[in-house]
Formats: sequence, C-alpha cells, structure tokens
Amino acid sequence: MLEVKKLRKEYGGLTAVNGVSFELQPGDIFGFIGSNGAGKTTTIRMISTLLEPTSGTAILNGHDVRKDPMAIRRSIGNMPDFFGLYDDVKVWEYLDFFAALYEVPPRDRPGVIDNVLELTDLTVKRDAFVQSLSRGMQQRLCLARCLVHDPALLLLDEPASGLDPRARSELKELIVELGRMGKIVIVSSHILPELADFCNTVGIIERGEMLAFGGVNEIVRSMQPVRAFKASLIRNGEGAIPTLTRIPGVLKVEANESDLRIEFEGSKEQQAEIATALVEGGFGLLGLREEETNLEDVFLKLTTGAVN
Amino acid sequence: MMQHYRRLIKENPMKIEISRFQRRFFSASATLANRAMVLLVVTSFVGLCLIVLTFGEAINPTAIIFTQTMLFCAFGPMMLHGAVAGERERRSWELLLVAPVTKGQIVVGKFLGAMALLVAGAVAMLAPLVLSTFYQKQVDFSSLLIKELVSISFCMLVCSWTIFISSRVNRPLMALGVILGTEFVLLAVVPALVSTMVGSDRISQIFILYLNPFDVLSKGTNLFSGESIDPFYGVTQLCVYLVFTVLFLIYAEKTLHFADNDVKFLPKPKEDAGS
Repeated sequence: MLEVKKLRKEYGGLTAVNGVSFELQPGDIFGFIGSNGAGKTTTIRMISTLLEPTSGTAILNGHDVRKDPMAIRRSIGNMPDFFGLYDDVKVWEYLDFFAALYEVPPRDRPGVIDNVLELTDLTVKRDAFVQSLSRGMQQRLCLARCLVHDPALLLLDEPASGLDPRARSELKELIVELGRMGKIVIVSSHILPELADFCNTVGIIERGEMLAFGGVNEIVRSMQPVRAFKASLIRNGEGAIPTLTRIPGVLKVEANESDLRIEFEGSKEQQAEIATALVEGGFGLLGLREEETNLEDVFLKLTTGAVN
Repeated sequence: MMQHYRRLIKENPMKIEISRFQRRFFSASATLANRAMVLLVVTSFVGLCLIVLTFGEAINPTAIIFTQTMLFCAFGPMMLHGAVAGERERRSWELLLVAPVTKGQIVVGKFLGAMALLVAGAVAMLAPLVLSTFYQKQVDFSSLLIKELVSISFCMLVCSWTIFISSRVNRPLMALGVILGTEFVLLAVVPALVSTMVGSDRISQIFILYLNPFDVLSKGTNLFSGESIDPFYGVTQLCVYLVFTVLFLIYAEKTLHFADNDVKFLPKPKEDAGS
C-alpha cells in the first residue's frame, strides 16, 4: 500500500507541491493529471526518493521515503519521461546491468530477463543493440528495466508520449496487466481519454495542490451533480420550454435556437416523458442525447492552467 | 572502517561497472572507437616488447614504467571522462540515483571499473619490464618496485581527478578537455615554467618533485640525470598521490549531493523572470 501524507516541496520561496495526500492499494492504476508545472513530476520524484520532501512523507509497504529511502528504491520501478538508455549495449546486457544494480542474484538474472522480455514482448530483440530499437520498443525496454526487480510500485511519467497508436494500445494493455499482477501503478500523462480507459483512480493536481482524487466515475459524477440532455428540434426551441418544465424531474431548460439543454434529476419513466412531450407537442424532435462529462471536461472545469 | 569496506567495495552492486568496462572494450558489442583504442594499446604493447627484444641493454626498465605512466595518463581520462557527465548527458543518471545504491557506491564502482582495466594494463606491461631487466647487468628491484607503484598510484590519482571533474560537469567532452588540459599544465607547463624562472634551486626542485611523477621516475637512474639517490625515493609521492586519490573521490561523492534537480528547479530571481 502507498500512503502519501501531506507531501510538500519548496524551492526557495516557491511551493511546488503543497500538502498532497492520497492512498493507493495493490492493483490500483492511478492517473496523475495536471498541467505542465502543476507538481506531478515533483511529487513523483519525492516518492521515488530523488527529491527530499520539505515536509510530509510517503510510505510504501511500511517504508518511509524519508527514513528508509533504500528500501523504497528496492520496491519501486521508475520510468521517467526520457529513456536514459545505454546505446552501445545489447538489450539483455542492459537489463542484466539493472538487475545487478537491484541486487537480483546472478543465477536468477537470466530467468528474470527472459520473463520481463516476454512480458514486454521483446524476446525477439534479446540480442539486438539498444540503439537499433524503435521508439516504442525502447519504451517497452524501459518498462522491462523497471520490472527486473519485481517492484511493488511503478512510477510511469508520460509513458505514452511519442508513441504511435498501436504502441500506445500495447502499452495500455501492459499497464492493465501490471495492475492485475497486483502492482500499484502511477501514470502521469496529458492524454486524458486514454487515462480514463485504464486507470481506476485519478488525481488532478494544480499549483501543487490536489484538486480531486478518487475513482474516475466518482470524480466525473461529483462534477456533474445533475444529468443534462441535449435535444435538437426542427423548430425554435423557445416554445418547448413551458411544456418541458411541467415534467417532474426537469430542473432547468435553456434554448439556443433549435437546440435545447435540459437539466434533469428524475426516474427513467420521467426521462421518457421528455421525448414524448417533444414529439407530441409537434416540435419536430430530431435527436435527444445525454450530455456526457469526461475526464477532460472535469480537468478543464477544475483547473485554470495557472502555475506557481 | 569495515562497514565502509563492505558497503563501498565488497557488497557494492556498482562493481558491475568492472564487467561493463570489459564488455565495452573487449566484447563483440564494443564500439568502433573502443575497438580502435584496444587495437592501439595492443599494438603499442607488442611494439614495446619488440623494441625491448631488439635493443636489449639500451632499454632502461624505468623507460618502460615511464611509457606506462604516459599511457595511463592518456587512457585513464579517456575511459572515465563520461563516468558521471556521460550518464547525465544520456539522462541515465537519474536511473542510477533511484537504484538502491548510494552516491558513494556509484563513485567507487566507476573508479573500480577503471582500476580493473588499468591493473590489467599494468600486469601486461610487466612483460616488457621483466624482459628489459634480463638485459641489464645490475638491477635495483626495490627502486623499480617503488617506481611501478608511483606510476600506478599516479594513475589512480588521474582517474579520481577524472571522476571528480566528470561529476561537476554535464558534458563528457568538456570533462575530457579539462582533465587533459590540467595534466598538460601540471606535468609539462608548470615544470617548464618553474625550471626556466627559478632555475635548479631546491625549492623549484621540490615543487616539481611533488607534482610530477615523471620527475620521480627519472631520478635514481641514469635515464636523464644519472644521479644516484635514496632507494626509497618516491614513497612520499606515492603516499601523496594516494591521499589525493581518496580526497578527490570523496569530493566527487560530495559534489553529487548538490541535487541536480534542486538546482534545475530553482526559481529565477524576480528581476530575471521577464527576460
């Protein structure tokens, strides 16, 4: 389990991260969302022991980043937003080097390397030079490197940046698989629709403060307390407003020429009455659909884009 | 003390650098530049052996150690100039920092990696050295031993200086330039200037003596001056080189405590913010 408690980082007079707290369980895939400079990378660096927190702490499976950084390092796999590969070595040599660094016993290393290569679908590239790999393969090699010591927590900073759609899709599947294996995965990304696809928890950070944290649906629902429908009519919508406001559950109706926006909080039967009223009233109903709020909308609603 | 030994040497996972160095220079995956370097060393070695065999008595054993020291002065920086700066340049440095190794272990691991190769080089150089002693009528083995140790300890100093400089800059070539420049100044320019300006008085001799291993190597034999001096001459220099080696390694490790990221993220002063 990862507990982040009131994590704070100051640089001189600048507060980069201000009291960020959250808790993740094994198997959680956490999408960390924020604009550039919001404090995501600083938070990840503090969790990965690269930066010392000014105050607060993070505890991974009972190990405190401040008190026992070495134990934390043994338990995390960190994939920054750059590769940091050694070009002049072969794929297996690269993994062997990191397996040695992470104290994997020499006799276990060949097996571990084969396993992570299989998991990341790089077995055929075992003896290829790192520099000969495509960007997507290098990204997967970085992920393989993070896995050689079987970490409990994976920190992935912009893992899909620069990847083509197929490579992204493969990476997404791999991350989901890692979550199934019981690892805690923290993914920082700007590609919000993709995050919503595979993350079960998200956190939105701005100016170093966590604005929202929870399940994707939970956050979306919290941002959309009432449901809203959009109706397209043949005729001007103004005339339909009195008819619709009489329906129980309809809270507010706004017309914009032939389009209507209906805020609604009621049962399915009452919802069906909206369509019936528009058809029977002769307003020429062309379509009626529920307005969907996605992660991107939530992010845009919650954040202003300001940085410290 | 034992705890430091265990942590930094015996149980240091960065000892993997030794096999990485071997792999970098001697495996099939070695780069063209590294293969060329190995070929140059092997050719020089074979050439040296042939010269000794051809010219026999005319080759003073000290000249072999002299050559070895020159080679070490060139190859030490060439092997290690990217020890930290190279990691920074390719951005793999952060990956080492999040691994369960301390900065001290990283520095010592890099140093040990280079030392392994240099010790192998020194062992190889024993062949022409021993060959040359066969042709000499009289050989002072204790003096030769001290000179060999002076050569190796000076090389260790050069390597630790290289790691220190490498840990302070972001570009490996910049590190190489600084190190080779420093060597040139300390080993050639300063002795030449001091000799010219001060002459051969005692103070200038001491100054040169402590800075320049080649001066130490040339003493006690008839290689240059022909003067005969104390057979233990050179032990002091050896100790000085070793002390400075340790000091530079310690400073290299301390240098790394300036967290790169902290510096990078320091906000600009307000007056500069708009510029």
